[in-house]
Amino acid sequence: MKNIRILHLFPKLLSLYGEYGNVSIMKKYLESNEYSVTVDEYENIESGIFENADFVYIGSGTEDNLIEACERLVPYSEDVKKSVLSSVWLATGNAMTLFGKNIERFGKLTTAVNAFEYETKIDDVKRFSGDVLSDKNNIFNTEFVGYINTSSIYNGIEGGLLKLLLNGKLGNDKTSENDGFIINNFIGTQLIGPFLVKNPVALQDIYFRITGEKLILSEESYIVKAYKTALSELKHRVSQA
Amino acid sequence: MKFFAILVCKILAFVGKLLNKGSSLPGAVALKICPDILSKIQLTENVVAVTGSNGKTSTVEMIASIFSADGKKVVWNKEGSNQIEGVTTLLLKNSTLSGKVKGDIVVLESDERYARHTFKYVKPTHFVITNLYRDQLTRNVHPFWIYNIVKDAVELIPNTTLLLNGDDPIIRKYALEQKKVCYFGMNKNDYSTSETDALYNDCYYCPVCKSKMDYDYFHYAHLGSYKCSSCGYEKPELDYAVDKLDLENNIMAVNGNEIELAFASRYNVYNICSAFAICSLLGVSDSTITKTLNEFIMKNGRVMRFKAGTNQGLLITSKHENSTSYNQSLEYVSAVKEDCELVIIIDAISRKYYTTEISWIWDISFEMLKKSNVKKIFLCGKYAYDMAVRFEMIDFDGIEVVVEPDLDNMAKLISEPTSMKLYAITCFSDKEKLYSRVEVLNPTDE
Repeated sequence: MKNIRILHLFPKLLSLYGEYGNVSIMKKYLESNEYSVTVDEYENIESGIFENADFVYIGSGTEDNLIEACERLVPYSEDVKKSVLSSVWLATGNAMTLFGKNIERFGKLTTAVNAFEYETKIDDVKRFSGDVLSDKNNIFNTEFVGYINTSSIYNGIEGGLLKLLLNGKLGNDKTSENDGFIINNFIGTQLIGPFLVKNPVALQDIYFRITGEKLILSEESYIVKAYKTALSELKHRVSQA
Repeated sequence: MKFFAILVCKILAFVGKLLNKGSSLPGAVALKICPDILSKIQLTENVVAVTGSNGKTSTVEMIASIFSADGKKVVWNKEGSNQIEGVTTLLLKNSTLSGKVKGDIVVLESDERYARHTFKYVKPTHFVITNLYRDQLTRNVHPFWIYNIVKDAVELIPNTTLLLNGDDPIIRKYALEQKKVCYFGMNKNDYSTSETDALYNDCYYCPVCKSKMDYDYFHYAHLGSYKCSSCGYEKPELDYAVDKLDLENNIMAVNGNEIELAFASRYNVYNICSAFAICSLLGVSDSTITKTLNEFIMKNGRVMRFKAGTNQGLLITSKHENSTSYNQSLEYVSAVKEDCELVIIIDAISRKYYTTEISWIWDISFEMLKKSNVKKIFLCGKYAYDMAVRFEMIDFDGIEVVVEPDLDNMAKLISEPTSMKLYAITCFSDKEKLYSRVEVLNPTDE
């Protein structure tokens, strides 16, 4: 039985929209395929915690908590940079904010982890939110469903993980339809909550990145049926727009 | 313009009443005619505004009943229209043509996001803030986002007395910059716990300094007795405290005054306590308050009896996109002593806007059903499969879970004869979908 170590960063500090579901669903499917899974949760970062992590997950937080998380994470930036080259990472909601060069809020610049070449501005007045549906693309041959609810505006992200068909102006820079990014095994998306639950293809993709094995999901499984319900609803909305 | 705006509002309100139409339009038209009409209205000596995520309508209903029982003519938004247009309709409809409110006291239910608009013109003498929870996050983002919006409203009324839920660390923060503050809340009781019953705690970290918050006990969600060992931010001394709570016998007490509970739930206790507190602050005697609350029957239809086939059922209406409201309903069902069945319907997320966002389902503590007498659970409506995925994370040993998105099929399933009582949980947006498929009973029918 192979051991899998999941690292959940800031499960209390960054936990706004049922994000723990991403870890729960991954653990469930890994265990159902005979993997032994350990989930390590860290509110305070320590040296060496990223070593031997197979999957690192980080979710959404309030704007104040994001800055707090940034201050806790930045002293370990070099560890994070090494880890994103070797482990599978998933950052959902506004957690992408932590991994660019810096964060501008209330006119003040905070140094971020600087793992990737983009900058973030937090707008505490205007909120960017709405249901989203992505187009199929060359990364995923399927549509993604979900919801964006953020005050983070990203500048300098090349391309994107998803191309938004519905509410396209909720993309990374809030003018284009590109959402998130994928670099090596680091996946960032603005989609909130249990992203892997809502999008079984994402679950299968990350499962494969972690284990090197395919995760088979039955068309009759609830997770696939739930996805199809959301897909049908959102496609209907696009057709009416 | 004032006269004309009031006249038009009165006429539209009268016509709207005949046509059974909503209560916002007359106010909206009046505001078009005279945008600052509210500032030209002569209000009553005391104006009470109530806001918060949950329980506004119930609390306002109770407050209005108590003042009425005390012999006062109460002007209040019975229809629950709590945005600025609804408040405008209410006040103009109840004014003379010269703009003097015809009543002894005004009681306003105020939407959390709109109080900052209303308070530019209408300055309440007392502002009750009941709680801030995760609620309709598609609109409201998160509780601290709403905290900041309500803070804008509080800053407009520096001379107003705030009546705050002292058990809520988020709300307590308003006291840091306000001169006149009173607190209501709940003392430790048999139902207090060392850990929160919720799957998350929005005040795990101190809202003031971000150090880890220490709790002596929780009542539910992030409410309880808290203290930050770093900055000293803590639960205040309560002016009005629930000092007795016996859900077995449906009894609570505020400052020693016993009140009978119509619905045995810890959640409604805060609403009752806040109603007691504000009326007491404004001079109503304890005996009038307790007598009224003992006789109070909720008019909002949140708990209704029904019959599916020959099966007796009880619907508990909850708020979609609000895990605290769902936890309240689940707690009630979990406390049922006899074996029972439960149907949960999520078919439309909201009655006001369209969304497919279901993340909030993952914030609900469905786990509490494991220790209940619920023997069978029906997950129904368009989002039944989403609930089913969430339920797959829980080991419901001994509980049968049936997943049926189709509501007509659901009606057949819950009508199959059983000796167990049936409970239903759903939202305002979906309750008519249940009612149209079962026989709705009067509260007194058996």
